[in-house]
Amino acid sequence: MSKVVTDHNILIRVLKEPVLMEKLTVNQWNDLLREAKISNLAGRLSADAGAIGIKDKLPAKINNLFKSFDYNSQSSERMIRWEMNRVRRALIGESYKVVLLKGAAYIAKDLNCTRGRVSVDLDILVEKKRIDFAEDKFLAHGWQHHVENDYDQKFYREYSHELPPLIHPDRQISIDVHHSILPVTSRVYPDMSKLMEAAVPSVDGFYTLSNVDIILHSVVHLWQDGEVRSSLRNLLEQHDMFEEFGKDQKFWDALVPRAEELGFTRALFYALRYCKMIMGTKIPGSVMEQIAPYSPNGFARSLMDWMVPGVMSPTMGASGLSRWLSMNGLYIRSHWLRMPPFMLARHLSTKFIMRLKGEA
Amino acid sequence: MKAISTFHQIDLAAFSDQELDRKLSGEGVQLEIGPFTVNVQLAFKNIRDDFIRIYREYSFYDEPVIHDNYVHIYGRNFYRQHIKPQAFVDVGMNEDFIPLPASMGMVSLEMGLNWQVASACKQYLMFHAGVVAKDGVGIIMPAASGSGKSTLAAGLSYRGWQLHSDEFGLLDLDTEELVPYPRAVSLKNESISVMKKWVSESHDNHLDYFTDEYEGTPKGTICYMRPTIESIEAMHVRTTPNVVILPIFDPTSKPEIRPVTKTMAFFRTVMSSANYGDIGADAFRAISNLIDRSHVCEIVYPTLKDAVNLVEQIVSENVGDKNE
Repeated sequence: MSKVVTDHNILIRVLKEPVLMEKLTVNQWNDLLREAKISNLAGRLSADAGAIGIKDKLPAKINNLFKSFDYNSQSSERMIRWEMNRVRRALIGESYKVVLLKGAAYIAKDLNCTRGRVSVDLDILVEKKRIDFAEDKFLAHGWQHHVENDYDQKFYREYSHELPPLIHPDRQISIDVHHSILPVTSRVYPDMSKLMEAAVPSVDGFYTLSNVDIILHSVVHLWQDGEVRSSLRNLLEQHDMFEEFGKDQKFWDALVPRAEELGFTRALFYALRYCKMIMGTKIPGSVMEQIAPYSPNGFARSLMDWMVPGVMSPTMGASGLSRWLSMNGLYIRSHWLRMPPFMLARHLSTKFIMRLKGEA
Repeated sequence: MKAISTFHQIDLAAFSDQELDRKLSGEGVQLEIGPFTVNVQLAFKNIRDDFIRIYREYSFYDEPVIHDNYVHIYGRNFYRQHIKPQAFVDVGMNEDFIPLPASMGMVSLEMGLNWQVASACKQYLMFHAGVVAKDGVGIIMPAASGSGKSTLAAGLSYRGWQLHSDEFGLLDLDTEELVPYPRAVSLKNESISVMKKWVSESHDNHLDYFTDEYEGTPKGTICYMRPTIESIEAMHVRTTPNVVILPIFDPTSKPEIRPVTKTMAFFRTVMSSANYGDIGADAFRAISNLIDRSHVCEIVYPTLKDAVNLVEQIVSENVGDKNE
C-alpha cells in the first residue's frame, strides 16, 4: 500500500514531473496548491515551471500566484544572505571554523535544492569549546535570546545541541548556533571533530560540511531527529542532493563508509529507501547493496513503509486516522531516539505542568 | 453591471440566500473579492447569516475555479460545535489561530482572510492604507491602526467614491494601478456609531449594511459594514494612484491641510507597506514612481465630515484640472 499513497499524491507527482502542470484541471490545481503550501513547497512549483519554460502555458491565476511565491523565496534567500553578512561581521576573523548548515549552506554552495526554497532561520555550527565565546559575540553585536523562560533555557543548554535561538531585533531571522548535529542525549551521537575536520572553505570566510556530510546531516535530521511536519521538503532536498552530488562516482563510493564511521547507517538506509520509493531517485545498485545490512527487522521496516508515505502526503491519500497514527508514530519515534526514557518522561511532564500553569 | 473578472472567464452564479447558506455549510462557496477568490466553508449558522448579509451582492462561481485560498470555520469536536461553540479557523497555512467563541460571528472569518492576505500576498505591493478612487483620481491614505483611516475610506465611499479597501491597498507592480479589494469594512469601537449615522444620512434602511456589534473581541467592539453596491460592482475597475494623503485624526484639532515633502511621503508610504521588504527593488521603484506622480499632503481632522471635505478640497485644487 505504501507506494500507492504517494504515487497518487498530486504534489509528489508534479515534483517528480513538473511538465504535468501544463495539463492539470482546476480541481487538481486547488489540491496541488493546498498541499504545496502545507509542505512549504509553493515556491518550488514556480521555480520548476520556470526552469522548464512552461509558465506561458499555465492559467493566468497560477502565474499571478507564482509571482507571489517567487518574491517570497527570493526574499527569503536575500534575508539569509544578509544575515550571513551580519554573522560574518560578528564572528569571522576569529581563528576557528564557522560552518554553515542546512539552508544557508545550500545557498552558499548554490545547490539545485535552493530553487524556490524558503528558509526562516540560519543555522551555524562551531566547536563545542567555542560556543560560549560565539554566544558572547552575538550578544555583543545586538542579538538577543528569543527563549526567555528558565526551564527552556536550561534545557537547551544542558541537553540539546544548540544555544537557545538568537534573534537580532532589527531582523526577523532566528539564528541557531549548534555545537553538534544531534542532541547530546541522542542514542547515536557522532564524533563532531570528524565533521569539523572535513569541513571545506566556502563564501565569505565561512565553511560548509563536505558534500557527503551535508547530505548525512539532512538525513539524520529527518530520519533520526524527526522533523515530521516538513518531512516532504526534507525528503525532496535529499533527493535533489543525491542526484546532484551523485553525478560524481566518488560521492557514492564515500557515502556508506562515511555513514558507518559516523554511526548514521540506519538513517541513511531510510533515506535511500524512501527517496527511491517515493521520489524515484536514481541510486546505484551497489549502494543499495552496501546499505541493505543496516535495515531494521522486517516488522519495523513494514511499519515504516506504512507510516512514511502517510506523512509525505499532507492532506490526501492517507485517511484521517492512518495519517494521525503515522504523524504521531513518527513523532514519538523521534523523541524516543532523542533522549533516554526517563529524561523523556521528565521533559514531557515538566512541559505539561508548565502548560497547565499557563507559563508556556 | 459587474466588470469582467481579471482571472476567471466563466459565468457568475446567482445564488439565493438559501442556496448560499446550504453551500456554505457544505462544500463551500467560491467568493471573488477583487483579484482573489476564496473558498469559504462555515459550520456555524450565525456566522453564515453574517456572511450572507455582508457578501450576498458579491460574485460567486458555481463551477470550480482556482482559489487563492480557502477558509474553513468549524467546531473541532461535538462539544465545540454544539455545546460551547468555538470557531476554529483553518486557512491551510500551518498557522493556528486562537479560536474565538462562535458567538463573535464573522470576526473569525475576517481575521482569517486578513491573515491570508497580510502574510501571503506578495504579487501585489500592499499598503496598510485606506484607498478610494473616482473619475481617474486614486487616493492612498496610509496610516497605522486607530488613525481613523478605515472610517475615512468608508465614509468617502458612502459619498460617491469607489472603495478599494479600508485596510489593504493593493498595487499592481507591472501596471502600477491600484487593484480594488473591497472587503467588509471593519469598524471598531467609537467609529461604529459614527458610520451608522453617516450612512443613515444618505441611505435608507441603513442598518441592512451592518452586522451585529461584537463586544469583547481582541480589538474591542467590532462591527462589519458592507461596501456600497457601486464599489462591489466596480471591484475589477482599476485606477492609477495620483494622491497620497497622510491622515491624522485628532478630536481636539481644527481641520487643516499640511504640506509634506515628497521624501517624507515616500518614507511614510514605505513604512505602511507590509511586503515592501519582500518585494524589494520592484517595490522601491513602484513607490518612487507613485510619489513622483502624486500630490502629497497630511490632513488633521476632528470629525469624519471635516475629513471628507478636506479630501474633496485637495482633489479639486490639485488634481481635477490635470485630468480635463
